[in-house]
Amino acid sequence: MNFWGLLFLIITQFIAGRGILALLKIKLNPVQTFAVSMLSGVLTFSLIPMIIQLFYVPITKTNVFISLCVTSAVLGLVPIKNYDFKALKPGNIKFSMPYLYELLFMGLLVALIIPSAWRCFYFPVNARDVLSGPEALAEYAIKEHSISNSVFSVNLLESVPNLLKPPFVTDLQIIYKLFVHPFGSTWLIIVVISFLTFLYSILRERVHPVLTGFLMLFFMSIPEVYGYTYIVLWDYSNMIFFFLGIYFIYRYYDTKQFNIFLFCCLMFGFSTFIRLETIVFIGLIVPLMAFIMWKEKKTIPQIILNAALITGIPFMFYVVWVEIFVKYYLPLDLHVGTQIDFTPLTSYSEWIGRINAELVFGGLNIGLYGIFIYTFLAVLLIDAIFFRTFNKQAKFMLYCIGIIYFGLPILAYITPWFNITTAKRGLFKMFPSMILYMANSAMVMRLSQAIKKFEFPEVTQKNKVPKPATVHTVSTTGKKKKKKK
Amino acid sequence: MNFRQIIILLITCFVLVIFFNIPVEKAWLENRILVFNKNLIEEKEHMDLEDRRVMRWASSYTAMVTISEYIKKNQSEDVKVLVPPKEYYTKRMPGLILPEPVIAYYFTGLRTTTKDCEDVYEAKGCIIYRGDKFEYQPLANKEEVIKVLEAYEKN
Repeated sequence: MNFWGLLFLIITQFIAGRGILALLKIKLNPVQTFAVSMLSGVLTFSLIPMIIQLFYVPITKTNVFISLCVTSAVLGLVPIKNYDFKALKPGNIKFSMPYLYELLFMGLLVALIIPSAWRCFYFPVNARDVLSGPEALAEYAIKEHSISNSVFSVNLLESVPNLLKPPFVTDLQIIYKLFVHPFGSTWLIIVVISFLTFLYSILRERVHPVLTGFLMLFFMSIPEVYGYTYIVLWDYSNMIFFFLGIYFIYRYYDTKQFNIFLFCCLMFGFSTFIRLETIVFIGLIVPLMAFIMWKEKKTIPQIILNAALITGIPFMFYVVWVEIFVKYYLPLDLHVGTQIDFTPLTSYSEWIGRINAELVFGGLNIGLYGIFIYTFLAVLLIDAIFFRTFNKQAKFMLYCIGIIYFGLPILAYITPWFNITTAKRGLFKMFPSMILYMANSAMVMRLSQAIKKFEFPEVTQKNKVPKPATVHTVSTTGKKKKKKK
Repeated sequence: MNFRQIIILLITCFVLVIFFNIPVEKAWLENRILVFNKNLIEEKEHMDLEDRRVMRWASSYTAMVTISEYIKKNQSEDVKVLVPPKEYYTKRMPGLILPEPVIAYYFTGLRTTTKDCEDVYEAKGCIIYRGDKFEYQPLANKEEVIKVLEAYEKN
């Protein structure tokens, strides 16, 4: 493995991603800034080989290197006035040592990610969908300096869908094969670690570190999702960026900052670039977005503009790949219109039935998702029956979970390649929202407060507002009056 | 650290033990995490890239490499090879998996065709079972391709 190549990519990805955050003036805490910068940087880099090819520039190591450096430099330097360099001064850097129970969980979570990191590095790509598509394209793109290469002249049989997927995996494999390691792959663990760091940080803002640790453990121990932390495919990354879009659109409603909305559109755009059908789920967010804006008495043109941006920006990613690159740069004749089928073999209700029977409540559900979904449902039921209160973010997450659950069967009408395996992976998009719901659930928040109260009773006492003291005064009439201080 | 935090730590450890004794979580821990320690020792002894390819891709890869090396030694490299259908080769060698054409091309640069492909009659060689092993057999013309396809069909 070329360690210096890996370091080069980590640094340039961070600079590019940090630049995007600065351009849009996204303010996060240092941990979240680092994590989201890395994620944004990786996705930005995943566009570069495709963009190089759009300009008919050969994909060589030199050209890719120059492109990566220029991209990082431009994105990093353009918003230079927006960086808060004062935060880097030693006096301003605040670090508090985590408590022992937090260190326990941090150690445990690191121990759980080490096998994934090793497997990402040690083994070549293995998933059939990637071997018969992006991996073959990346390997020959390096030899023949073009994504449109001799792989398309081989008997394709059932490989066509994999060859026509957006080049998220292809491009990252090209970059990492050129600079790090013949197997590529190491970008996946960078994405995974950055996301888990971000998730930990946002959960930590809401609940006690012990509960944060347990929630993280629940998430990481979902068997199928854990497998995708070292199996190079699209779905884990797609889950991450869809969740980032959801998280930042919620932050937009909280803060009303339009720059955050634009960042959310970018995250949805990246998510669509990874899996094109994500645009269907983004479309299903529009009604909620419109409803919230209407309640806040926004004008119709503002609502339409936001709806246009949140669907239009992801749609641009779709257009560039399908209507430009596939049409004019790849030697295959594919028209998206022929894929839409309003009378699929299996109807919407039948698909919901199959998803419930085979994935959520039966079939392979325990082997795939462990006790995660059942735990979520138990927390939801307890909240609904005993506490009967859902905060704003909890309600928002429930809506987003519903979008995935009820939206998945719609894909059967859009693409002929929708099957139970697609649904199995599509459900991943619910899981981060489920975790964030649990962090906002009345039950978990009460438990968090109880633990804090037990841990620091004197702080809890001090924070209590004291009852006003009663003072007796003598009135001019001679009667005593009670006066509250 | 105060004694209440120690109590929280102890309770956390206890709950973690319970968590990892839930059957499905225990299975996950044993099959995905703890197995890593056992595999790591063997894997560290096989750091060569080719060894790692063989470990990951197994017979699917080794079969294609063997065929490809034979062809490079004895034939023109630009040969389209007819590979047998799954029923044919798994009957004779149960653990064998021959990859689809795109993956075969990715593994070795060898172009393959199957009975379902449009270019099957352009095959200049085939894989056929003779005696007690699979062999590579050159094909001169369309009639020979048809004979091989019939042999595959007879299974």
